[in-house]
Amino acid sequence: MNQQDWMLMHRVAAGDEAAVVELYERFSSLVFKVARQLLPTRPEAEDAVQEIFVRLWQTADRYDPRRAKLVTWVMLIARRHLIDRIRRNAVRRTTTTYQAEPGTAKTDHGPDYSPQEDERNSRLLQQLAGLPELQRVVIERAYLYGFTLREVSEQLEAPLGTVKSALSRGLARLRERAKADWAM
Amino acid sequence: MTSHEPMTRKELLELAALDVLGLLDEYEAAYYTRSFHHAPATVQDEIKRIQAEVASDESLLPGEEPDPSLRQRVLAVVAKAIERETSKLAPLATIGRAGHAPADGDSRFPLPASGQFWRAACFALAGITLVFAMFYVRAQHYGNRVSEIALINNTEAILEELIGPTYKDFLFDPDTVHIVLTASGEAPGAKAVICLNERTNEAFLITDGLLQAGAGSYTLSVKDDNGTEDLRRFASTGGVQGFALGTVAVASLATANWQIVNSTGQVILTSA
Repeated sequence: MNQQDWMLMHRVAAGDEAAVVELYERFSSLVFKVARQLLPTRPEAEDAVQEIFVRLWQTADRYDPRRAKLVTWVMLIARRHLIDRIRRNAVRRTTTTYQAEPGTAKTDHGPDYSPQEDERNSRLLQQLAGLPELQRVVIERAYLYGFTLREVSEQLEAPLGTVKSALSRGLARLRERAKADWAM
Repeated sequence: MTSHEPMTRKELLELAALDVLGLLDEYEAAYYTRSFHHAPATVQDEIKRIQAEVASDESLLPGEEPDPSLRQRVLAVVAKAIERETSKLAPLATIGRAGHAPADGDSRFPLPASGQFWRAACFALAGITLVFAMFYVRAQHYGNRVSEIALINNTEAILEELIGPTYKDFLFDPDTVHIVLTASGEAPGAKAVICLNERTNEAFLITDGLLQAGAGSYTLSVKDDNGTEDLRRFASTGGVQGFALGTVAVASLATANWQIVNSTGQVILTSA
């Protein structure tokens, strides 16, 4: 499969239309959902998906199947692009204020936007509510808002290693709970 | 965790999800990748599996699907980006792209006419460069051979002038003894041979590369139990030179120590 994926990206890099179509068919749903999770509106998510596939074409020749599977590469390119987009467009403002109480972390994604109020992330937010406070806050800020771990570390005045561990364990716990819910 | 040592398996596994989700900053991501390449193959496989699971896990994502119309928009945007890049980087960027284009010519990403022209021009230029390179290598080889032949001819001319038309008979006379002088550390490229004919008692000195040992005059000396005797003082212009030493006591000198000394008294060549 790795060889096939490498060939696919080789063809994408060469501008092969059929290869671009195949790449879209395999990953458009996943990419769109990630974009939808991080961006406030559906049109913004669709714009981002277009940009991400252009980015995938631009970086296709850098894909190394020895380093990662293709879905990993696609997710990495997509997430990085979305985080850059959030910052570039100043969707997230630097005037963010933070409060120490659980559930009150407030980040301004725009005039009317807050993930906590958004239905599309309701499943994730329900899962988040059951996590220890530090893990929940770190996931919200890094995973949903695109803050770097260093920024989160400074915001929470917590060691970088602690933030990394909290994020890693929190994400693992979230996935376990989500899988358990799906199995029920 | 330090930045100088690769991460341990535990650290790699702990950060695997953060890496795939783009949550590591540029420095950390590079450090992670470097550590990944240092890890054993089994650990690499484990990380790749975990990261693929994280990447494809939709349990935390919204359930919305993209609109079917998005497909055409994405393909059109990518095609436009490719076309723009192709025209921007023409002519060089178009080399090789035709090999990936569909054979029916109905591609969304066709190669423009200017691209065809520039590709042909580049191939022609590459061919000409290759031919010139081959000519250059052959010419250089031929030049070296010519120099070698000229040097041999020059040597023969010098020896013929010094020794006479029968110099070959002298050099290859069974009664001629050849004493080879080896270079000291002062003149690693210098060479000399003394030819002594035991039947006629004639002696000749042939040198090569002495100029490299320093400009000035040189002295051929012979040292035996009775002391040191200077036989010939001469100047060198480099290359091969021959000097007639006249008649000498060949029987007694054949086993003596011969040496060539430069103007500062350094031994350049010696038979010892």
